[in-house]
Amino acid sequence: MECAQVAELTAAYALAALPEGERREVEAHVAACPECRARLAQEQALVAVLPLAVEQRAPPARLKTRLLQAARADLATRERQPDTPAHARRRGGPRSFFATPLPYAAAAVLLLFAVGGLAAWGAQLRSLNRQADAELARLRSSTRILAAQGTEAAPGASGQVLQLGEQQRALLLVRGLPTLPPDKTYQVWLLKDGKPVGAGLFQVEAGREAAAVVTGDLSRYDLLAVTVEPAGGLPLPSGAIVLKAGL
Amino acid sequence: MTNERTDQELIAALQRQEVQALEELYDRFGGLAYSLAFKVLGDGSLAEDVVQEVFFNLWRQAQSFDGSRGSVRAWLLASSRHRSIDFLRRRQAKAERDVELSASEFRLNTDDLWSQVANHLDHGLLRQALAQLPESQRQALELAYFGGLTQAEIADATDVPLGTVKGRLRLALEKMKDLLESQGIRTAG
Ligand SMILES: [Zn+2]
Repeated sequence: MECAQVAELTAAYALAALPEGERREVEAHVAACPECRARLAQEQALVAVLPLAVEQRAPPARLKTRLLQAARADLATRERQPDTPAHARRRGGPRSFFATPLPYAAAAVLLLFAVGGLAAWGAQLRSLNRQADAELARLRSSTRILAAQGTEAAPGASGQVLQLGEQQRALLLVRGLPTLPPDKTYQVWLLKDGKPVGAGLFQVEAGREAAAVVTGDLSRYDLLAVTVEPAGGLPLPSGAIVLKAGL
Repeated sequence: MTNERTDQELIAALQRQEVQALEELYDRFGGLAYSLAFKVLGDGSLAEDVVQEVFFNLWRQAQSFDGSRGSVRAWLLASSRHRSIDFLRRRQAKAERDVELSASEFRLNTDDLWSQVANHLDHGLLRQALAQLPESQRQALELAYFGGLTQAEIADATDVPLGTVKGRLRLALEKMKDLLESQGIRTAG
């Protein structure tokens, strides 16, 4: 798309009034064009103040009462079933498998081959495999492997979750997920009773398997899920689940 | 007098499961969220449901709210609008739209423009600016933002060609920018 066409569309984009196809074209264009990006940013800033144009109404007092009651009831439930304390959780920051420190990565790679049937997960991993013999036996004995399935949104996808011993990290191996445009990312979530915690981001190269480090103690969650989110990830999921694994 | 905590501090307190922090966030943004939902839905009790849901989700999911990725105000308002439009479209039996929460909607640093506009008493400044837009532009803007219509749906609803709607949306924001700037508001980032 040319700048002139994009200029006709950024306002509608900022107002979320574009259909999917044009939305993607605008996103692809502004990712590469600083001028259109700047105009879009200004239009988004204008749209962001529109709530201030609305006639302000005081919500009925019962709304606050109802909300706080719900929160207190929820708190009481949680106190009966202690959850992970906040400080024990890591925020899922951008983190790819190959960016992890080598000793851990090498051990994980060795493990892939050691647990059998996983050699197909990618020749690119093989070059790392000479480096961590010592850790191997210990890891092998304490590893759990769980299957992950693509959802209706990605029926061709599958994967495996490798929980490495007692570590607060696991490895997610995925195949069959499409490559995303540069402004999107796959984001991994760990869920407990439907509450998601961000657990890492990853990308998929065309036609390749992908590996992602999942941060968090899987034993404290009941579901692992992958969604498509804007680049950089979101504080909370917004996209549909494309892959999931019961934990 | 109590010391006002920042939004970031309130999120941190929410992550420690402090109900008081939820109350403070509600006191701060509940009215804006409710007014926005009411404007979209035209119905108080549905607006209450939306606001309850949005704030309760924040409470439940506070652990995963990452303040470095966006402001809580922008998240609450964007969520209130999106949920309201979901409700609206379901009630009108329109095909549900994939109204995505775009990260740029609340990751963007819009605080500067926001605080300048918010500082003008009673939000009157922005309402006046919108009132000065040509009727056709204001209508297109409102149908998109508060009505949750796509540009094609706006073209249908107002019986004008799609290209005209695109132009109206663009001109509406441009005019709004000019009107704010004529009041001494800086709109450039
Ligand atoms: Zn351009």
